[in-house]
Amino acid sequence: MSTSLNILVFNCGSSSLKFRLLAFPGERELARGEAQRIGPKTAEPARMVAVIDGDAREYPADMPDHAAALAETMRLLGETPTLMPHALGHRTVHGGSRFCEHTLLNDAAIADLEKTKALAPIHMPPILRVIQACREHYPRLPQVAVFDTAYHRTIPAHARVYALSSRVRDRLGVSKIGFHGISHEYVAGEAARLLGKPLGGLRAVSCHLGSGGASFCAIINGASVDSTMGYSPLAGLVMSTRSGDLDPDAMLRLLVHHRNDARASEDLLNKRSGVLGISGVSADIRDVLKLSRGEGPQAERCRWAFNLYSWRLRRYLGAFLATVAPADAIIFTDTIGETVPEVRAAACEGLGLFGVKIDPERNAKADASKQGMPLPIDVATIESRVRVLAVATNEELAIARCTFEALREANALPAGGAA
Amino acid sequence: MMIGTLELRGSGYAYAWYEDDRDAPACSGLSANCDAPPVPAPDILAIRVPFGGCEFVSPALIDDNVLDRISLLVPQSPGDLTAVLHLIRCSQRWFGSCRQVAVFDTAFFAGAACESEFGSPESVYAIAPELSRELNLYRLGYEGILHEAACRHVAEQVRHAAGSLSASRILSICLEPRPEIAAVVDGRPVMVTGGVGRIGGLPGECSCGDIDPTIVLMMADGLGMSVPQIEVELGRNSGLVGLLDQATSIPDLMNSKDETTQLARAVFEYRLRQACGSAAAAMGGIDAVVFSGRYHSLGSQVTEHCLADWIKSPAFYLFDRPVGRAMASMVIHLPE
Repeated sequence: MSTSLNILVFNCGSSSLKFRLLAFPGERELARGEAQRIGPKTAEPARMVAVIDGDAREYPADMPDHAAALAETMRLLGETPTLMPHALGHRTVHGGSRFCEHTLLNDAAIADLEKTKALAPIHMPPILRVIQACREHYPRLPQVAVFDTAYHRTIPAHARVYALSSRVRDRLGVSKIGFHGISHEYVAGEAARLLGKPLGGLRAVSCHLGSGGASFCAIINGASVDSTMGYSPLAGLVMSTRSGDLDPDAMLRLLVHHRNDARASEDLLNKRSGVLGISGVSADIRDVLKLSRGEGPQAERCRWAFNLYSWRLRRYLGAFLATVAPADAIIFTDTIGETVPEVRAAACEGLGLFGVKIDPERNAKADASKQGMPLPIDVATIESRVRVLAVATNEELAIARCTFEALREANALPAGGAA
Repeated sequence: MMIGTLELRGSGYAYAWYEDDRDAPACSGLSANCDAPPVPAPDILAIRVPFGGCEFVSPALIDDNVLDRISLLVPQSPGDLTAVLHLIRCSQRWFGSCRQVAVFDTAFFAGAACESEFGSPESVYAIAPELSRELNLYRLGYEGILHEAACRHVAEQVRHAAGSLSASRILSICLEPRPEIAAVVDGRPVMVTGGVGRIGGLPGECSCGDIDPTIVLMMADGLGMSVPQIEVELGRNSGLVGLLDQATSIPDLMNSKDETTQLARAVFEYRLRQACGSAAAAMGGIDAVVFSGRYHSLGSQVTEHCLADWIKSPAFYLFDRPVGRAMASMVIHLPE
């Protein structure tokens, strides 16, 4: 009988399904992979890319939907008897107002979760399809929903409430929720460890800069006190295709432009704005940065787009550093935060007032995508009062930890597992 | 020289006549309708125009051409500009012979915002620049006259002071019922909380300030509200009145000890603090802080609650003149 508990984590995207299998309590990785290009046929076929017990695999697979991707994942793991999971953890983008804690899923909880679909229409439907398929095909495996929103439950009322009439607030049920909490919480823990501080004493701004979504989190005493994202993941920073902030008057003009069609405005702001909208060429800020080094009108527009992207980062960094002052650290993470030194440098420019000073040489070498200095790394100068850290996020590990804790707290650790 | 100033006030207007550089007006008052003010024609008349878009980056001597250009801007700010055009036509009838100058609230920011092809990073939103241009979606603030005058005041104070004071980076906090914060470097604005119109930015006495853009869409889609209804809800029934369910002024809120007002006060102070942090980042530091607007005297409280624990030793200034006086100063030196 196994003495460890195998937790299989799913991180579900709109057309992908990442998985990682970890043995607890030692947190040893047994397998990882990603089902790519799930859905209708594209120029390239859907494929599975995985490392199973140290063995790299890549092959095309018929995965017309997320249920098929789940089945393929389980079939692949099933080839090795020791890799069967004992519990499942799901990255769940939105917990609405019902879910403040990571939750062991039963029929009632899943039914409640279905109600959050509309709050994150890009992310939640495929997550729920995977959860439902697991429930149907693997009913004995306990499932835990680990929420991106849960870390932000500590945001205080003065940062959470919108200055709207109670009539509108109550009818719409809107307040700031915040997202990317799994990543923010994980890197906050890593930063505290690096700084040799207890997490409960950490004051920091966590900058989760993904190639898709992005958000900052203000952290005081290890807890979230604010997020650049709001009730929805549209608000805040400039993202790959999301606009981030637009003031209400601008929104009203957009609505008039779209003849009061809120869906058309939402579609524009979620799918055709952000880096893609302002650059006109790519939704990836790395492409924009590369193109900005050229000459001609396209390069000029890309330079402007990069400035706009960076400007919003700097403006929000100032706001959040004022919130957490005196800060111990700024933490950069996820694809862009870990691999694009130019973004870190541009975001931290002119923050001397807050005690932030980047070491340009160290920062340039800290690039997780190249043969540079490995992460985590502190790229601030010695005299900088605030440490500037580049930390690799590990959402799957964080989800697995939360799953393990939720099972233990619910007294639901499967028999045969550890602990 | 007698300088007259006019500005819209509700459905009427306020007037103030200033003699040369004197601070106190020679006469002032309010009129609820478009009767001529009970004062002689001034030598020059400044009329406050709330919106000039990218079209006006400085005060403009009013003639037929300027009136036509303002008229073309009406779709971008229909309520304000329709009323001010009416006021201008009245004043031309009353004081036909005197020079009349349009002074724009947005001009201070429009210069920096509109000078480049795509707009400055501060002035635009992360949507396609072609759409920003088509819909005129530029962040131009709404208290530019007071910000500009307050920053000039600081510059004069610094010039007159002995020693090596510098005030190239000014945090300008305009405490009006719709408060606005700007960051000004060497006399040019680089950041402002105000947006395309008067609803966004900081929460005001009855305006919501910036909110998640999705909420506006939910009001339209989920609550079935029309654009004018949303505009009224967010611009008149929100902000402090929305949080408290009753009308209040910013000074009353800041001085209240009532438990029930504490959340609204905390929201207001928190948003001010964050905006000041943004301004500091935008400028790369702060040399001076200036408070203006009708609630400028709250400056010390704002400093204590929003700035003192993270801004070290900038110089603090108060600019206590009303907007009329600021307009008078602007037009007195205009060329013939």
